[in-house]
Order: sequence, then structure tokens, then C-alpha cells
Amino acid sequence: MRFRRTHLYATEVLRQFALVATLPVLVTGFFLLWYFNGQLQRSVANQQQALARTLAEETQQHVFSAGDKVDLFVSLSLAGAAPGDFTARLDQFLGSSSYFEAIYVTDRLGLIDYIGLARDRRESRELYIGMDVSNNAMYQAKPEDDRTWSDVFLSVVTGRLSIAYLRRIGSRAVIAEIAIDRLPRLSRQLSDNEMLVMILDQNADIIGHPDPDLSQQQVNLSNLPLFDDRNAAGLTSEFFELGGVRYFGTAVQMNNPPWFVVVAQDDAVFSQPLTNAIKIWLPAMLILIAAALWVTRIRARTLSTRFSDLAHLARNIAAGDYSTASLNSHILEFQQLADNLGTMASAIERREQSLRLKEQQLRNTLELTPNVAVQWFDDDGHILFWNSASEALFGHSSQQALGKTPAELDYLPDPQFMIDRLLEVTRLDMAVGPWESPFNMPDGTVGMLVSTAFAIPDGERRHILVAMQVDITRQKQAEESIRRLNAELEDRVAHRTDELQQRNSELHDALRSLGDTMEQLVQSEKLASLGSLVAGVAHELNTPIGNALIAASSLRDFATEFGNEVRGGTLRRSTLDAFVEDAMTAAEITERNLQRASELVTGFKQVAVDQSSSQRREFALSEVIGEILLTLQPVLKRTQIEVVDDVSAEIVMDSFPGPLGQVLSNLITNAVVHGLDSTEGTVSIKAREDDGWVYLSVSDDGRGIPVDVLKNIYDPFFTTRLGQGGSGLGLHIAHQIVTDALGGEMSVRSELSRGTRFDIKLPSRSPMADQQKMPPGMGSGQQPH
Amino acid sequence: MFTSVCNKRRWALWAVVVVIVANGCADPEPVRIGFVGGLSGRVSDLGGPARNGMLLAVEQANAEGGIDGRPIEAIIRDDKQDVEVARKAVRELLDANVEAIIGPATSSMATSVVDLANAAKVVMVGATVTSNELSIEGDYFIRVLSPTSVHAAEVASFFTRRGFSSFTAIFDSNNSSYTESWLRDFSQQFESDGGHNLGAFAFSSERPEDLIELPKKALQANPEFIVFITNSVDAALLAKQVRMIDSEIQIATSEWAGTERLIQLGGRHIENAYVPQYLDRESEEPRYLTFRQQFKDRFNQEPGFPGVAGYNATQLIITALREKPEKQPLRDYILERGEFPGLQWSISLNPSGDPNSKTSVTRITDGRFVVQDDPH
Repeated sequence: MRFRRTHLYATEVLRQFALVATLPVLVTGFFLLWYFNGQLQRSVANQQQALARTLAEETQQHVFSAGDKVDLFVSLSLAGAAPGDFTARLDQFLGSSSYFEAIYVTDRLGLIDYIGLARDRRESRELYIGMDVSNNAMYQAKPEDDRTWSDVFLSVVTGRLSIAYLRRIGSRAVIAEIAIDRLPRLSRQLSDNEMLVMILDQNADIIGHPDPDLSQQQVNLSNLPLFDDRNAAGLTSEFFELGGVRYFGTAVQMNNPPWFVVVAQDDAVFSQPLTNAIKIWLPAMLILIAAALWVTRIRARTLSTRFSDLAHLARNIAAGDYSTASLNSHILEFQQLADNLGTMASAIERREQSLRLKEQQLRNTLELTPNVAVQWFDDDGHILFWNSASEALFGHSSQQALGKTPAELDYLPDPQFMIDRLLEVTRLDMAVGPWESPFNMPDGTVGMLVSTAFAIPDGERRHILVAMQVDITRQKQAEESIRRLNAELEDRVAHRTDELQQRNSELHDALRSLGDTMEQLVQSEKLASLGSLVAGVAHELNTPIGNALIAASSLRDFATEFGNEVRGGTLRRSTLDAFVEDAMTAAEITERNLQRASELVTGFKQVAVDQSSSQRREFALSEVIGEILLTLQPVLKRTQIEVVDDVSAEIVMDSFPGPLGQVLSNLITNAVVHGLDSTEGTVSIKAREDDGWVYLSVSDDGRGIPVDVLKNIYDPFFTTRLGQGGSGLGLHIAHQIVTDALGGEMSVRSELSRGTRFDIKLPSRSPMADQQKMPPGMGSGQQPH
Repeated sequence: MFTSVCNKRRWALWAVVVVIVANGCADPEPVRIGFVGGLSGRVSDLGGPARNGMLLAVEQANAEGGIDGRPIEAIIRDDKQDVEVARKAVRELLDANVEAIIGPATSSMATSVVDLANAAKVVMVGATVTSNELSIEGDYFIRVLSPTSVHAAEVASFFTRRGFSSFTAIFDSNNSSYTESWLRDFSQQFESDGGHNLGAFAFSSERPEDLIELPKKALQANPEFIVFITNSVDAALLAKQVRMIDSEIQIATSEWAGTERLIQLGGRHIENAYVPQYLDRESEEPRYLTFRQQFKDRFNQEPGFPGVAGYNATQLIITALREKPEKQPLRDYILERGEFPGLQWSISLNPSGDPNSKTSVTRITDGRFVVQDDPH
């Protein structure tokens, strides 16, 4: 900051006033000085000019009167005299005049013929006779009236500066020399202490000066401003310097000779009135100004006191004392200022309270933030603030930490890194981070922090550098274990995937073999069905064929006995007759039984064709039921089970008799085996036709199916007789055929100990195309057997 | 407290400023240079132009800013060709603390006052002083014209070359320091060249009537030429007297008389006289021509050799005062430097403070000095 001098208000006012008071005084003073000086100059110049003119005229009169005297002498005395008397007359003339030094008469060449001298010089008269004066400018001049005044010249006769009056008379000239000694005398008489009068020749050489010596030295004053720019009137007034003295003077030029009269006044004398005036005026002004300044000083001090009070008030406010009583002043501005200061004080107080509150809140927030360690640093890295989270995190109390640097406190393995970040904040003037860095935990281990740093302004140029950290040690550890688990998991997943793939492949194989097995099972079921069919057929055929066999073997026995008798001749008629009768009966029995066998074979053939080919045809439901029951005879015979076939022969269907037979076979078998345990009971088969639908039911009065089993009865391989010869496919296949192949519906109702009833609803005419959709294993041509 | 001290200082400063401003118009202390010489009477034709030469030099120097910003003040004294007046004048100049004195104009005055200058250790530059007497090593007298031993011998040789073999001389005993010195040197050279000095006649200019009879005596020896070792006024009077007796005899003067006044006063009587000059009146040197014009403009007269000498002497002092080292005495600097510019030729001083200036002989023809081109 640039240093500025301060002043007291009173001093400042005093200075300003001094300036204000002095300036007009000085300005007017100088103006008056200039004005009166001009006036004075003009007045003095006028006086000087008047005097100079008078003197010039007077001098001229002197000169002229001298000339007149010479003229008079020439015309009265010399003109009538004989040349031999000339010298005497000239001497006489000189004797009669006080100021002529020499008078001579020249010849036509300008040589002195006669000369009149003062008495003391007459001895050397011969010396001057014959002198040539023709080189004198005066002599060479051609005046109109034969009268000439010379310049100043050094007289040969006197050896002094002189002027001469020349009067021509024919070819001769009379020349009278006047020593200019008289002019200094004249000057001296006219000059006094205040006035200098000088006479100068036309070269501006001094010829008349109060100092007679100076008058003889041909001192040339042509360089004075007086002679620089002579005005039209031939007179001018100027300041000039001569012999170290400053003069104000006026020069007037005479007509003939063209000399100058200079009237001058010593500058000091000339300025006397003015100097006197200033001598009175200046102290008066000074006293007045001093008095005014004194009054101003008193007033300014009073005002200054007011300012001091206000300053005191402001200082109190600055110091935080807002309670200072306000000021009372009759000066509006002071009063306003004081009031405004009071208003300002209360405003500041309010703001300070608010700020304090905010600061406290901030401090509390910072202090009590449990997880965020906050530190403040000054620009040199010294700790200014250390919150409780920092204490907890780093193990140093706030008291230990304050005023130290991170390096001194040793809570960071690399304190310089932190200092560098803080410096970076200062340099870049922006927040830095977040960055992760290790720290020394109080237990001696090294933890991990995530930190940010930024600056908050503090005063004019300084910053508070803030560092904030969060302990992420656990997070880091958790991250690490998760990372490890992840890695393991991946391994495991890969392992499991391999396993699963293997299982899958095994399952796939199992599934395929299961399919195969199922197929085989279906085939074996089919074979079992065929087997039971074959067993039933074999059983049915066994009787007629056995009968026929018995009849045939009885016949052979009859024939043998008959032959024996024939050969033994013991034949008797009765024997023949008996034999014929027996043969006939045997044939009859054999024929009948073979017929029966043929019928059976035809019936089986139909069943077998239906069962294996699933061909669609029109058939009577009762026939199909009869055939099925026939095939089931071998099973039924071993039981006390009565199958009641209550189906009308009129019900004719256009459908697939093979699958339907299978369905019935499976249901009857199921009722016999599971419902009645193959012991005793009744199985009823009923059917009715209604509006294109055939409602068929197979019921038994057996033990019924438990509820928990009921829902699984259609699942494949579900069996209550696992290991006792049940495949678990019977009802599954029946359900499949009804719903899929025959386009019907199938439901079951069962009551424990009362029996089970399967109801089948079938279209009279199957909507399915021939062999359109067959249950698995039911197709004839498509299934590989 | 601090404030009030500051304020006091401020006021003091203001006071000083006011005083400075008030005195600002006052000139700095001037450099004073004295002049002493015959300004009135018969010898004023030496002193007057010499003083005017000095004034011109001073006025020009002041117009250029003086010496290191200080104006030059010329203090002028008339010695009236009187020993007592001269000594009084020199004392006054010394009392006025002049840095140097230009003058006197004549040798007799110079020899009378040089001891005062030596005692005061103030340099005295004799403008037109040529007496051999003043060629003393270690004194404070220096000059811008060679001593008579050089000039007079040259002039003597001139007459020898022109075929003259005898002369008589009339000289002014009031300025014997110069006149006798000149006569001796002239005579020696002339006689050594085979000529004859037929007699020398002294007079006192205080007794002009003596001049009436002297030429008769001088002519009685029947010399081939007659030499006036006098001032111009006396030379004019003597010339007239000689011509009254002998209209044919060759008249000559020493350089002293060689001013404009000689022609003005001498008129036809001085025609054809041989007049040696300390300057080349037909010099084409631009500095000289400029100076001559300036001189005539300022004083309405010809400078002649006294004007040139006065100007050269003053220029020498001003140059030395301007250029000398502050601590070095003026005389030491002048002699050590030795070489100073002059209007027609440079002034080259020997250890005695004497230069080696030239003489050119003129003959007055139709009222003018005409340089005699003389093959050496």
C-alpha cells in the first residue's frame, strides 16, 4: 500500500482555507501590482519624457547659442579684419568665452591657417598651424546653410573629446571647438539621487554623465534597449542596466546635433511608491489572513472534535461495541452520519450474530462430523483447525495439532504429498482431489484415506486451506474381499458349469434313454396287451382245439378198437354201429370246435388289426367292447369279477376302434387290477349317445383312489404298484388317446371304498383325419417296432 | 505528533519554496572580469577599442549563457595614462574579486601595475602591451601580441629590404617602457642589417610645444627616413611638422600609432607613411570579418588592432575560465594549454606568456592603410 500522509481535519481545513484566503489576496495583489506598476511606469515615463524634452531643448539652445556666438563673431569681428589680425581676433574670442577651447580658420584645403588658443596653449600654436582637418566628417559634410555641428571627436589641440561648430565663409571655414566637459557638468546639475541625466552623441557614446571621467571614455550605449526600437516620436522608455545599476529611463533625440538626452531613474527609486504600498499592504494582508486562519482554526477544531467523536463511535463499532450512545449535533450531516453509524452498528450486530450462528453451525458441523476429518491450514502449512473426526482418525488431539505442520504431527507417511496438494490449491486457485493416500492409524497400522483440498478466502489476500478426509480403510478391505470372492465365484461357476454341462449331457443321455425306455415300455405295454390278447386267444382257442383234439384222439381210439375187431373179426354189427355213431359224434364235436376256433381267430384278427393299425372305420361300440372283453377273459377268469356290459348295440361310431379298444382295455384292466385288486367286484361298462357325442363310462365298486393320488393318475410312470408289475403308463396312455387321438374328454370321480368311475366323452364321428394324430406308440406304420 | 511534525516540515518547505521563488529572479553570482586602460585623452584610441573589443566578447559570451550559467560582469577602469590612477584602478578591480584583468593598453601602465596582479595572483592580459620588459616567466602577465623584440626587428628588416640605410627617431618618453624597447629592437636589427641610427629624440606628450622643434633636430641628421614612436595624435602632429620642413622625407611610425585616428588627424601630412600593424588589415579570415562587422555595428567604429587585441585577450580568458578544471589556477591552465584561438591567427603562448604574433607593414594611401606585400 502506498504510504499517504494523513492530516488532522483541522489542519486540512486550515490549509484549504489558507489556500482559499491567500489565493485571492495574492491574485488581486499581483493584479494591483501589475496595474499600478504599469500606471506608475506610464506616469514616470511621461514625466521623464517631459523632462528629457526640456533638457534636450535646453541643451540644443546651449549649442545653438554657442553657434550663434560664433556666427556673431565671424560676421562682426572676423569678417572685417585683415588676415594678419585673425590670430589676435581668434585669441580674443576664446578669451571672451568660457566654453570654447579652440577656434581656427582653415584654408581651402582644410589646413589650419589661423588658430586662436587659450592663453596657456599659445606656445604651441605653431604645432597646430597647417594641421589637416579635411578628414573630419564635419568638414566633409555639405550643410545647406554652411553651418555644421560635428560629431564628438578627440581634439588634437586639447587631447579631449570635443565637438566643433563649423561655419563656412567662402572657401575657408571657421571651426570652433567646444570641450564637452560642460555636458557632464550639466548632467550632474540635473541629476540627483533619484534622477540620472545623460547626454549621448549620435553613436550613443556617453558625452554627458554626472561622472566626468565616464564622459570622456566614449562609452557606447547603443546596445541598450532604449536605442533598439525607437518609436516614431524619437523617444522611448525602457528598463536598462548601466554600471551594475538597474534603471528605468527615457531617451529623447535632439534635432541638431542629433544627440540623445536620457533621463533615468534608479529602479529602486522608481519603484519606491510601489514598494512602500506593498510594505503597508503586505503586513496588513498577512495579519488579516493570520486572523482569519486563527478563527478558522478554532472553528475547525470544533468540527474536528465532532469528527473525533464520530471516529470514536466508528472505532467502537469496529471494536464491536454497538451500544455507544448516539451523537447529537446541530449540523445535519454530522447528525445523519451519527444516525447512520448507529443504524450500521445495529445492522453489523445482527449480521455478526447471524455470522456467529452460522459459524457455530459450521464449526459444529465440521467438529461433529463423525466420518469426515477436516483440517484448516494457513499458507505455510500450519494447522489452524482440527476437528474431532481428525482427532479420532489420526490420534492427535486438537491441542496437539494446532500450529503444527503435517510433517511435525506425523500422521501421514508422506506429509510432503499433502503439502504439495495444498500448494497446488494455492497455485491453481481451485479445489484439488479427491485423491487416495495412506495414513498412520493410531494403532500403528496404515489406513487409507480419500481426501480433497480447497481454499476458502480469509481476509484480503490470505487463504485458509481446507483438507477433508474420509477413512476408507474398511471399504478398501471389503472391496478386497469382494474382489477375492468374485474370483472364487467365477472359478466355482466355471466348475459348476462344467459339472452342469456334464450332468446335462448325462441327463440328455438319460432323457434319450428314458425316451427309448418309454418307447420300449410303450412297446412292451403294447406287447403286454398283445401278450394278454394272445393269452386270451390261446385260452379261448385252447378249449375248442382241446375239444377237437379230444374228439380226434377219441376217434382214433374208436378207430383202433374198431380196426382190432375188424382184424379179429369179432366185428359185430353193434360195434360197427356204435363206432359209426361215435365217429360221427367225434367229427361233429371236432367240426364244431374247429368252427369255434376259426371264429375266434377271425375275431382276434380284427382286434389285432385295429390295435396295430389304428385305422378309422365305422363300427358298433358294443362289438369293440365284446372283443376287448374277450381278450380280457384270461385275466377275468382267474377272478370273481363280473363285468357288466350294458352297451347298446345300436351305438355306432365313426372313429378309431384300435385306440378306443386300447382305452377300454386299459380302463377295465385298471379297474380290475387297482380298483378291485383282481379279487371280486363288478366292473360296469355303460354308454349312451347324445347329439353326436358318445358318453362312455367304466366304473368299479372297488376301494377308490385317494385324493392325493387322484391328481397324479394321468402322469406317466405314476403307479401305486411299483415293483409289482405296473408300468404306470396305463391311465396316461388312455388319457392321451382320448384327448389327443379321439378328440374327446376324460374325467374321473372316485370315492374311497365306494369305487371309481371314468367318464369319457367322445365325438360319434371323430373330427380327426385318418391317422392324423396318434398317441405315441399307437401309430402302426410310423412307429418303429 | 507525527502529523504535526510533518506539517511543520511542510510549512518550512513552503517557506523555502517561497523564498526560492522570490529570489528566483535574482541572478547568480556573476563572473567578474576587469578592464584597465587609457580610455580618455590622447591614448584613448588604444584603450577605447580594446575596451570595446572586450565588451563585445563579454556580451557575446553572456548571450551564450555566460560561464557555466553565470553571467560575466565587465568592470571598466580608466587609467588616464597615469601611474597612480592605474594602480588605484587595478586595486579596485582586485578588490572586486575579478577573475582576470584585461589591460592595460600601454606598456608604461602595464609595468606600473603588474606587481599588483602578481601579488594578488590574478592573471593580467595586456591587450596591446608589447614591451620586452614584461616577458617574465612565472609572473601573472600574459599578452596576445608579441613583444617589440619580434615586431620592431621585423619592421627594421622591412626598411632594410626597401633600401633604407639611415633613420632618426622621435619617441614618447611618457611610455618609455614601450618606446625605448621598440627603438632598441628596431635599431639593433636595422644596424645589424647595415643601416644607421642617426639619432633618437625623446619628448613628453605633456609638453606638446616640444614637438615643434624636435622634427627640425631629427631632420638635421639628414636621415633617409624618420620614425615616430608615439601615439597617433602625436604622430599626426609630428608628421605635419616634418612636412612643414621636408615634404619628401619618408615618414614611418611604430605600431602604436597605427589606429584609425592617425589617418583622421594626420590628413594629407601622413600620406605615404609606413605604418606597421599588429593585424592583417586585409585579412579574409571569416572569424575576423564577422568580428569586424559586429564591432562596427555595435560601436560604430573600426576595431583596429586594439579592438582585435582586446577581443582576443577577453576571448582567451573566457575560454580558459570555461574549460579549465575547477581546481586549477587560471594562469597555470592558460600556460599549460598554451594555444588559444584568435581572430586572425591562433595565439600560441610561450612559458613567459608571450605569443608569436605577426606584424604587417602598411602604407597610408589615399587615407587608407594598404598592406605592403613584402617578399621575405
